[in-house]
Amino acid sequence: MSGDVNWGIETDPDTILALALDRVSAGESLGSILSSAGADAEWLEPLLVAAITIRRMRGAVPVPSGEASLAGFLARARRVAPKSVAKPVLRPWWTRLSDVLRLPAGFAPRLASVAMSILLVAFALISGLTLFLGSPSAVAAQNVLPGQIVYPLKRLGEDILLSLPQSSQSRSAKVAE
Amino acid sequence: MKDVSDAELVETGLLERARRFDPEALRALHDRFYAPVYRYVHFKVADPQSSEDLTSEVFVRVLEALKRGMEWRTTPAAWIFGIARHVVADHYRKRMRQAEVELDDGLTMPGEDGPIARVVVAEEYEALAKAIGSLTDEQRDVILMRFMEGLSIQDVAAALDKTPGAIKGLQHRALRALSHSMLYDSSEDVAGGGL
Repeated sequence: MSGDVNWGIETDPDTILALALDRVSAGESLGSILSSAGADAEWLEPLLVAAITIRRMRGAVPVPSGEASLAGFLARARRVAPKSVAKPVLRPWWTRLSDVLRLPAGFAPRLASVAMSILLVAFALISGLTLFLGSPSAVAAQNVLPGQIVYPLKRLGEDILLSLPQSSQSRSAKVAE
Repeated sequence: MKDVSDAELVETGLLERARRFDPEALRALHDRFYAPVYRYVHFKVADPQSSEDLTSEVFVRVLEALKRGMEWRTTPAAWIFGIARHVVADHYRKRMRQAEVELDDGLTMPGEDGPIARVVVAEEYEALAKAIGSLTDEQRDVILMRFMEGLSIQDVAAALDKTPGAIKGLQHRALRALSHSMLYDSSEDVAGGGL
């Protein structure tokens, strides 16, 4: 058995049969495989014919529609599927505040827009002040004298600085300046 | 590195989605494996009604396994056929004290068009069913999974909990027994017809 070049150095009949079956699966004809099998062709032929017959008879097996099985399968899946945990809906703060204050329906959006307007105005004021105090014109205004055009600007800056909350030590220093 | 076929990728994707109980994936999974599992079960238990019931049971077990988070070690096909094998084994354990039904008694003849074609296919089918029925349980598993359903040696090994080397030996012995049985059966028919 074996020793043929077609199976390389392989001499194990189980492996030779597996290699021949791989060639059948790849679509090679039985005649082609057997003609190149040498001495192995004699014992391989009935086995390969049996394998091919089984594959050919696959379509002859009467298979039912499977509709009932599918319906049962899906129904079972619905029963055993883990229940999804409902995520809490996050309501915006203004609707919650509106609920707490027991404001009339439809007031919450207006509350939100008023609050947003206030926030925007406050932000604009703080930003403007920060820019003015830190700007080059403000720095330049520190050296001007009474009677000059920008002198009122210097006084305004000093008043604002003194009105901001700060320690008493730094306030005294500012007044001394 | 192991080659992964397109079919295997599709099946793995289906199982991944089925694990999340996606109804479309469950339906596709059932459609893809119903006929192969039915054929396997049919040749193992013969009775068409039992075959249908057991095939449905296979899918229920697949569902339970997915819910428990079980992993498939090789391919989805090997995993599902492994489950089918256990379902059939459980069925026989339950019926251990009952007389076993002869395999060829319950097999329904295939419906082919044309009277001659029907007779030829039916005779061939009957001979094959009888030959498969004469195999040992393990040989029958290998024949059905490997040649009827086209599973690889590695997949059959995974489904039957054996090594690929053992499957090669089993398929050799199974094909030898099958070809002998088919040859013996047909020569008996010739001898019977001559009388």
